Amino acid sequence: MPDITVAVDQSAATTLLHDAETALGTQSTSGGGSLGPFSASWNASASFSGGVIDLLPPNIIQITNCNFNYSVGFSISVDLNAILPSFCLPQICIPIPFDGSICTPKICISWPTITIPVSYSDTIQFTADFSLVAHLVAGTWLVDVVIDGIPALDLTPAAVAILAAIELAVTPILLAIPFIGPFLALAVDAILTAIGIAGLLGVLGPLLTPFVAGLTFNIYKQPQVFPVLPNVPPIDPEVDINLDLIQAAVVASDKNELVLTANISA
Amino acid sequence: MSLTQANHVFAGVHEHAINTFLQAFLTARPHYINYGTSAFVPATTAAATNVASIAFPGIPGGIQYMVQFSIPVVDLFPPDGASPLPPGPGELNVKVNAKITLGCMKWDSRGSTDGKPNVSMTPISTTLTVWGLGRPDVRYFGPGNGDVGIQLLDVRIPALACVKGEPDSFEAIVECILRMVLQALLEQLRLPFHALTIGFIQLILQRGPQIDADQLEVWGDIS
Repeated sequence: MPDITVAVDQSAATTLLHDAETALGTQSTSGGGSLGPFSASWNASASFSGGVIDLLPPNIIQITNCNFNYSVGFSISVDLNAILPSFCLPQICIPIPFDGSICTPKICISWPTITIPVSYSDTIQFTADFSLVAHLVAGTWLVDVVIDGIPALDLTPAAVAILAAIELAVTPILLAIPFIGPFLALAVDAILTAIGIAGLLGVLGPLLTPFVAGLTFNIYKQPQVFPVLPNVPPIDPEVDINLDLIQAAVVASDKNELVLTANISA
Repeated sequence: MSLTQANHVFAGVHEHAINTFLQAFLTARPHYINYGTSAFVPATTAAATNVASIAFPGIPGGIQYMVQFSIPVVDLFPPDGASPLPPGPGELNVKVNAKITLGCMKWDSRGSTDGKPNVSMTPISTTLTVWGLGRPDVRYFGPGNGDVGIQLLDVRIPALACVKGEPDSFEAIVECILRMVLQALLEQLRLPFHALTIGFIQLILQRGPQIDADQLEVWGDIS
């Protein structure tokens, strides 16, 4: 028989898991690269909340409809010269009587490079199985709930929404460019076509999947030298015990329970 | 039957773990089991507690003594072996050795030039095995905040057992003294909830503590 046994049922396990989701907090990442033919920098942050917990013996915790709350931000750099035709004001000559003519120079417009900022937030629900892992890391016992595999995230709606957001963002930016008027619709279409749903999915997948790949919620973290009583000056030192072994499992009975056991020594 | 039964949370602590806690506590803070008057313990330190001597008119400095307990060993129901006070359901035994040392003094005022007698002291000791019968005593202050101690119900000292089956007045006096001292000791040894649950949960106590199968058990919920 273990020295100490602590069991929680599905209701209490749900509380523990949701506390662990909160404790995990918001994670973030950033990067940059190609978005279609354009270059872009991006950042993303994500957190997790909710979900229905099912304890499945011997070692599975299933979380159904876990909320994956994320925000992404893009800064897309578009060189308009790559997508718009070159545009020149022709030379105009005015004849001057008895003295030849005066001509204006030929002026070619060089299209600028524009930057399109876009941000988008959404929540995706996913369902996944997690395994219980109890391990000792650098003198600290951890019991983690670690995702098995990588859940499929349907990012197509997000890609569609972000493309729409790019369209909304790019129009006022283009309108500020002199002589763009006749080319406005062409420019917008060219940008949206060049990025495309596939281009966005190609960035969103690698950007957001790492948040859920290897997703780990920590439900127990205590030092191996476990403080039972604190130091009480002037003469009472801290009282510690050693957590020699911590194990965790889902145990079946008339109701499934998450059971943590410990063997200790003085 | 599930461990949590009708509650959401269960914690069980085996008697081995309770004895480990006692060993850790009293190894770190031995002054809880070592007491002596100034002749034996000049000042209170982590190792021992200074107590006042027993004043008696004419005895220079009063009666000097020392009481030293071994680290108590707890045996939860059912009992692991023979006991003069076998625990019933819900009860426990505490077994401890008590070493009582008396500073046996002789003094002589003859020839003293400063009015103080010449005092010589010879320590004499006896060690008695004390058995206590008790049950768990819980204090609950709020979620995750509480502790469990031992309520002492009775004490037996087999070495003092009367010969003819009749209570002996000497036995009664020594048992009473040691019961009081042991009760005072046990009231200071309390196991906090976070140790019961090794920091896994913040226990909201709803049922227990109970003793079953050598284990102290509590039930409740988490905050």
